[in-house]
Amino acid sequence: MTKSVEMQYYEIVENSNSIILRMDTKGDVTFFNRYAQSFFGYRQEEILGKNVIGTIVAPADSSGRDLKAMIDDMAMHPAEYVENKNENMLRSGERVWIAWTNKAVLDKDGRVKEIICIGNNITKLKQAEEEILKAKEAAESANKAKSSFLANMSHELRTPLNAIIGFSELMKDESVGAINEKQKEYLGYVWESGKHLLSLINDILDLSKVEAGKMELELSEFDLRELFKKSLMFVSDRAAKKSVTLLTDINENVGLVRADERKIKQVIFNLVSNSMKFTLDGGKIGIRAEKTGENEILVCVWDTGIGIEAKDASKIFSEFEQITSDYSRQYAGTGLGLPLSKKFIELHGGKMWFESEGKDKGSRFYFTLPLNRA
Amino acid sequence: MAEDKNNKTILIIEDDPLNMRLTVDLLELNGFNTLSCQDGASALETLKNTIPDLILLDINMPKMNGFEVYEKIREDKRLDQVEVIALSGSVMKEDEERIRAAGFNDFMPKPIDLKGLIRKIRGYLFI
Repeated sequence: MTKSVEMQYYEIVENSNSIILRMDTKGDVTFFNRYAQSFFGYRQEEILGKNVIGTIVAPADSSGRDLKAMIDDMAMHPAEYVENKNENMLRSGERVWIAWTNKAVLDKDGRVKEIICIGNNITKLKQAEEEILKAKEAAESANKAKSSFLANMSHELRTPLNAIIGFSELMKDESVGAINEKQKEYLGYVWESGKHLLSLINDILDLSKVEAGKMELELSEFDLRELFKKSLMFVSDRAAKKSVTLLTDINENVGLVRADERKIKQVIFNLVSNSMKFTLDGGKIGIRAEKTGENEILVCVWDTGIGIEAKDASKIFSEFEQITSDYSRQYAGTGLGLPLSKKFIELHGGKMWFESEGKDKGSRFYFTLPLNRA
Repeated sequence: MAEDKNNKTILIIEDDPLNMRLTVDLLELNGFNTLSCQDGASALETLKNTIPDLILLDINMPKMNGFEVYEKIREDKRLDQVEVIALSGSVMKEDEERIRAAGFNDFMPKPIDLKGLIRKIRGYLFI
């Protein structure tokens, strides 16, 4: 009976598909199962009594880690090595990675006598892990390169833009002498195009910052009603030219908010300018706002403009999507205003969406602004 | 449109010739006298003999950049009262913070807001 139990254990150990070995506190091998023999390439008599260092463990691994010190330490503090992954060495010299579980065998005085080590080959897993790590590092460095490229590009473009915008402004304002109407008109286009290019550069920079997770909110307290007023004032000239009526309906429960004023201003300005762009002569544009529930303000910028067809709905918040086909020629824009606005609102913990009944039925852009921000 | 002459002199340190021309013309149209230097070394040379009323200093210049020029200017006690405004095409928040931390009196991003720059200069010179 005893023998048969021993036989069972023997069979488990010898037929197992794991490396099973024992070593003493000096690191000399005292047991080496059959799988270990075939895996490492040593016959039993070749390895028993030999130290693991120089046989199945190189003194240092490929990265330079001191494995001799590790084995010494393991003999002293086996409890810290219950699970351990390290590089090992086959008889051929080939390096492999093994995941080990280690257990100390104590003598009758409680001192470590031997260590039982059971190991499995994880070389492929380790290689895959390293490849993922490399890919991640490459992606991170590419992203860094992109950010620094954008920052440099922005700077390089600003120098010539400074001359384009500045000189055309001096001329169109007749600071350096009178010009005729046509010249004024053309210079106005040069100046506006320069400004447009500048806002494109700014939007791209902002967007890349948001994407890199580097965009921070600068919170301050300000009056949302004032902001609405200013945004509408900004487009009042164009509204007058197009005979577009501007309407506001701001509930009295809307007042002071704590948010990033510059970004909220940019959002409202983007929405109102969009409405202006896409609303035909004689149409209407409005801002509606109210506090809904305890902690949220709902804002709606609406217009009676060209509307949004169902087939275009999914593109509205995509970058550069406005720059498609016929819209782009008719309605110049950076195509970044809406995606950027949505991201700014999301940074505040709010949401942005739109509704439109279809072509020529106008649009309503909504966003929420949570009030309980720290 | 051109303003009456005032007796204030602005030193402009800027390496890009067109940007320099724009700032010089803008200031002169608004009645200021200007001194222009294309790099830090010549600006420091000019400052040995002249004390301007205000300095506009471009940040991104080859050889000596705006920060280095600023440091040299601040080492000269005769220039203690002269305000220095940085002009820069690097407009990220970190860039502006770095400029302000260096001690510049003010910062104008490029492209320059022409009317804003004149307003700012007039504010510093009380005119």
